[in-house]
Amino acid sequence: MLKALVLGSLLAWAMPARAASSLQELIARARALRLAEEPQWIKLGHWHKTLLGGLKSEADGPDFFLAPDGARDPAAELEATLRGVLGSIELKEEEKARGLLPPPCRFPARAAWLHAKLGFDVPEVSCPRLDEYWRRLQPESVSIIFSSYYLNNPASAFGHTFLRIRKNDPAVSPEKRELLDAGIDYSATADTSNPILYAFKGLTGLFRGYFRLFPYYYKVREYNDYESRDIWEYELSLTPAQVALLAAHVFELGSTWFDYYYIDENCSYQVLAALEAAAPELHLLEELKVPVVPADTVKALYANPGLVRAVRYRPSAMTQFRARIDGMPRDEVETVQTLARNPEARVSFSSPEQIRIFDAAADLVDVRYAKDLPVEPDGEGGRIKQRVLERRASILQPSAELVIRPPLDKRPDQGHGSQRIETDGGWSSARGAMLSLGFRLGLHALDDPPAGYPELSQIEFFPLSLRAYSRGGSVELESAELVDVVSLHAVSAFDQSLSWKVRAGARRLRDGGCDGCLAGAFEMGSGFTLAMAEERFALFALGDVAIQASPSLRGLERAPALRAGVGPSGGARLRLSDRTVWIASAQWLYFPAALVRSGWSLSSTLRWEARPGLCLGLDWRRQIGATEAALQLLFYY
Amino acid sequence: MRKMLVVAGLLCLSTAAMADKYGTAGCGLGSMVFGNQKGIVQIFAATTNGTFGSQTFGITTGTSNCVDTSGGLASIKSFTETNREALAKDISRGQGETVKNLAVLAGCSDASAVGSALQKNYSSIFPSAAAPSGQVADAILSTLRGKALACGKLG
Repeated sequence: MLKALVLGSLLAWAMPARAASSLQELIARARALRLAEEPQWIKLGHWHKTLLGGLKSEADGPDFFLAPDGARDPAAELEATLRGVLGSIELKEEEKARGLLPPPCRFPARAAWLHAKLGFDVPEVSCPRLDEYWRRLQPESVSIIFSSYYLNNPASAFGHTFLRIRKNDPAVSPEKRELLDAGIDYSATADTSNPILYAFKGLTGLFRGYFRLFPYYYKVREYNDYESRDIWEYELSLTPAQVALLAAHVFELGSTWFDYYYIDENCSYQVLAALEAAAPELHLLEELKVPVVPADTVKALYANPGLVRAVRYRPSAMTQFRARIDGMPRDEVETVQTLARNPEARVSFSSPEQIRIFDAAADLVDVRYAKDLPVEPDGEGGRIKQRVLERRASILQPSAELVIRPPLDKRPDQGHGSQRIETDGGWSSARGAMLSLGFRLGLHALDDPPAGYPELSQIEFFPLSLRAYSRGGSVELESAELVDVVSLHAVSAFDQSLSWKVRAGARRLRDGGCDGCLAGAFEMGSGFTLAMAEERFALFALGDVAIQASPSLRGLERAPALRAGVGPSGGARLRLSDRTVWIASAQWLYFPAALVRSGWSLSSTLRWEARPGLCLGLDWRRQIGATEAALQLLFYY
Repeated sequence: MRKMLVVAGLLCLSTAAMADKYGTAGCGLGSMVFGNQKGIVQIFAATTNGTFGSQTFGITTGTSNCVDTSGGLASIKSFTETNREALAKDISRGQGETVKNLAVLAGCSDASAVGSALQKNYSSIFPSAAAPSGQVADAILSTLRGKALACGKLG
């Protein structure tokens, strides 16, 4: 099969083979041609420069290398691969015992590449697993799939990317069999549910990341239905040979693992690295920054003109439900709600209305019980759904196809760059003129340009701000947060999910208990959000708790360096246009048993995206200790 | 607090947890993706037994029927099991993406005829919420075997 693969599917890309040569001749020619230095060979082996100037492969599983020092020596590995592909490397007993594939079957993409460069007689080898893999994939085209942000699962707060390989099946049009395509996912295998250990292992590369193959429908069910995440599909215009080489390379990657680092060598990075190995002329990895966020994967695609040939949208269960009730008369919507609680309720409408009522009710039950249905089909949700569907089916007419217009302004490739530099000039009532400089590692705040991001979610990583004043001194740290997350969730008749926020880090407080002192602070809150006009306007109210600590604090009577506060906060956010956002908020905190019993703050920010990646802003805030106003200039990259 | 700790530093970790006994748990979404675990464990998508389940989706090792989409009985059964919730809805509606894909797996040329036939038999295909997936798949197959549908991949 290797022979068929190299000479068949991968041949279009291969050069005409030269006459048969001995292994020694081939190695000599490879040396003379300096093949081991060619970019594609380096990418096929995932070698990267190390800090000390050498090369090291990012693949960490030893089976990915045939030469003893292959992980560090592309030339030795190339020669060993030639020997392996030509059948001169025997598996050890131990390797046979654990089912390791023989070298000619393990490295189809390397074999094809070497064959294209050198030409040789590919040996007749039987490779049943490679055959099976190829039979399943029948690769025709490749898409990068972006599963959108999902704040309620912290691990997915940034989204996720993976590959879909479309099957070649001329007998059936592709849109009728999309679920049967192959998904290829790179993900960490988490082996702990201890959150601290989990975060630590993820940050330090202690999890192993593997490429995995599954039917695309697994991921559609998981993301669209179970987690209610919209999916964006970016179909790539690769040549058939590149598609075949990518599929073959992914098979090679199946024999190894990569140490998984959330921050940089994560799913998005490895997916692009695999793509570059098949199409080395693409500029992908060089477009990435650290941290690598999945949305940057799709932005990197657009750095290659013409690479994306189509973008498709797969609405989540929640989006589908919203589309079904959009424009539905009130009495019908009420019936939908009733049915989702009591599936036996009377439905006194004629059949076209009945159909859409039952269809919407079934979607609502699915969304509401999404977490229970796959694990507990016979629970409350399962029983309600069963009855709704029985009644729907008995109408015996097909539903009209639900057509949903893709929300193009939420396309992840349209979003602003995740890193931000900010310079402000303004005035403080306490300290006079002020200048500040800020930096943020990622990702998005509620007052950043809204295109490409969820409307009412904020996840900021390491926002940092320095300030200098005309009165009194040198440059001061104004704030340094670890995280600042806000997940506003619009309440509707169908969905009463809470809004929440978490913020942790250090910032200057300006109230009676602390006159501009730098305090470590942890704050969280939970409450409700009302939104209208497709979430363009939102009002939110939360109950907050805060813990603040600073040596200069006049806090608790018994422990002045510390205080705990509780109180309400709230505000409004208005998207005035696609490029203009205004947000105002207020907070009041009561500090029980503290020397100073309360503190409050008010703020208002107006942001205008003057051009892509550049915002102007007006910021005003008032606390007990100071009133400040500033003009902001923000760069996103 | 747990949430915060985890927010502090995670990028695109996909859920890769697997049931450690997938062979008996079947191909369903619950067992394959979440290891049939609930609550916080589900969110962290973690198993105690490391990578055993990942063999199912292993690129060079995954030979389970759960990942076969080439058509025929076995792939129809695993499709039915994993897509059960969406498929039940689409069957009740007499149309939809899962019905179209099922028709392809079964080698039926007329997906809308398949949709109508399945819709008509909804109650025998899904007699209760608890109906085991194997039974659901068998009932679907017996509908698809109807002569009028002329489905060509039912062996």
